[in-house]
Amino acid sequence: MKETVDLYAKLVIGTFSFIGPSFTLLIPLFYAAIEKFREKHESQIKNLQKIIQDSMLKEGNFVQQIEVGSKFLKAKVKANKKELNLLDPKRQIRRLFRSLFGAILLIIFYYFQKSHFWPYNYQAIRVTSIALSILSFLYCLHVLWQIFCTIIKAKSEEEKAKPSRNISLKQKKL
Amino acid sequence: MINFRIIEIIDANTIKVEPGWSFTDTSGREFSDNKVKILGSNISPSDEYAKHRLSSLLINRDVELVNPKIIENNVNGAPVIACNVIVDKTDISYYFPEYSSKTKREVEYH
Repeated sequence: MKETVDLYAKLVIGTFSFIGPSFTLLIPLFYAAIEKFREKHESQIKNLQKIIQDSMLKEGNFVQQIEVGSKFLKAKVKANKKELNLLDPKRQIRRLFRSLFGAILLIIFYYFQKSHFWPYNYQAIRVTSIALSILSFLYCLHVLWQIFCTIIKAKSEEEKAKPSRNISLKQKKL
Repeated sequence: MINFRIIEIIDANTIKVEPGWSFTDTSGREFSDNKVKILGSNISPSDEYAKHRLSSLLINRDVELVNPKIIENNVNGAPVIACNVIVDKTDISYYFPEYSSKTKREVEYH
């Protein structure tokens, strides 16, 4: 058990030392793609809100269609806002480091309980602190996964949007 | 990318643009017009609600028309070309989620 906890502690500290340089490299490398992706989501939200507003003005004629349509459009607005949050680097770093610090502090608390400075001997508290630390660390991994997926999506959208990939119509010469 | 301005929504999946478009296919045939059918649209042309939504989204907006497909054997007056319509870097079908083939089965209209 002692070796397992030591190994887990090393894993958390290793993750902590990996995240700093990764983010320092990733964000400037993909900043342009992230910004374009963010602009796209912002314009999608604006257009969706315009459609919802205009639908309300036409309510008398298409009541049921508006009800059904608004439900889907509002779900799209919600999904876009979630994507925008994922594209905010400061917000994501805060989420990541809060959970990681939480995991580390709980491990430190576990080791402190095993020292002679801690007068009590409750197995339940030690197990709880390790369990909470693991949950915090798993949440941190989940946030990391979300960030990497968002960056990959932003980059692939940038590639898809390149003009050479699509044939477009020309304007008619007058 | 060349932009076209939408001046009229003819029906729920046909639009009129300005200036008109021209296109030469791989066999050298030349086409030109100002009407475009929206590619990938599952919407019935007579759907007035969808037409209203297209109007609020597209009228007097600049769009990109990409991936043209010639419509063979079209009726006189009907558009000869179908394209993906891109507004603010998003395909127009994004703004019609309840009409996608997956959700259409779940939606019931009386």
